[in-house]
Amino acid sequence: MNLATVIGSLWATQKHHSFTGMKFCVLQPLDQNRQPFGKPLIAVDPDNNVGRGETVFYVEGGDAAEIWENHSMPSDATIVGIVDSLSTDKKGES
Amino acid sequence: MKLARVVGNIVSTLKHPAYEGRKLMLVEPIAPDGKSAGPATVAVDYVGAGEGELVLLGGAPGAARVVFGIKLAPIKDMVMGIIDEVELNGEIVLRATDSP
Repeated sequence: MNLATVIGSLWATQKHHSFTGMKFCVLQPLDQNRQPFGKPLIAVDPDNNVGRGETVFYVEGGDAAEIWENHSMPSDATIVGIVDSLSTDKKGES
Repeated sequence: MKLARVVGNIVSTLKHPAYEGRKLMLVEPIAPDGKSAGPATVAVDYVGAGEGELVLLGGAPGAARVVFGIKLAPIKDMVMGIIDEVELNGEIVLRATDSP
């Protein structure tokens, strides 16, 4: 799983039926110093509770496709949690 | 699996049910010489590792279901062990005591 900051949203009226009711977010992956690395990507926000500017963690690959029972979706990146706080030995509590 | 060092702890209230009650950590992959080998990732702790420790980071897709015994687990990275030492070509290149 990676840390990322939510930098935008994406709407799609026509989409695979398994995505119904879900929002897509544009994520910028972050490293341990909360500095951006790599290119932004699109991830599914399955509970619709993530907003711009929030720090989240997301899962990639096969594990992103099935997060609820009997609900498979063609997703390769899914947000699985919102970060309240992050403490590292370098920067302390933030 | 990868070598990694625990660099931080994460607190999260809103998260997928599979993560409830589990410790979330920030781990930085390292090379056998102890230097950083890429940006840190979020991992679920399985062995009780602490900040600064050298750990074994791994998890194939679906592995978390077996490890935690739950039906659905969107968890990719797990801390599966705490490293005591690493030997390369007959030489100990990394020891638990090397970690800061």
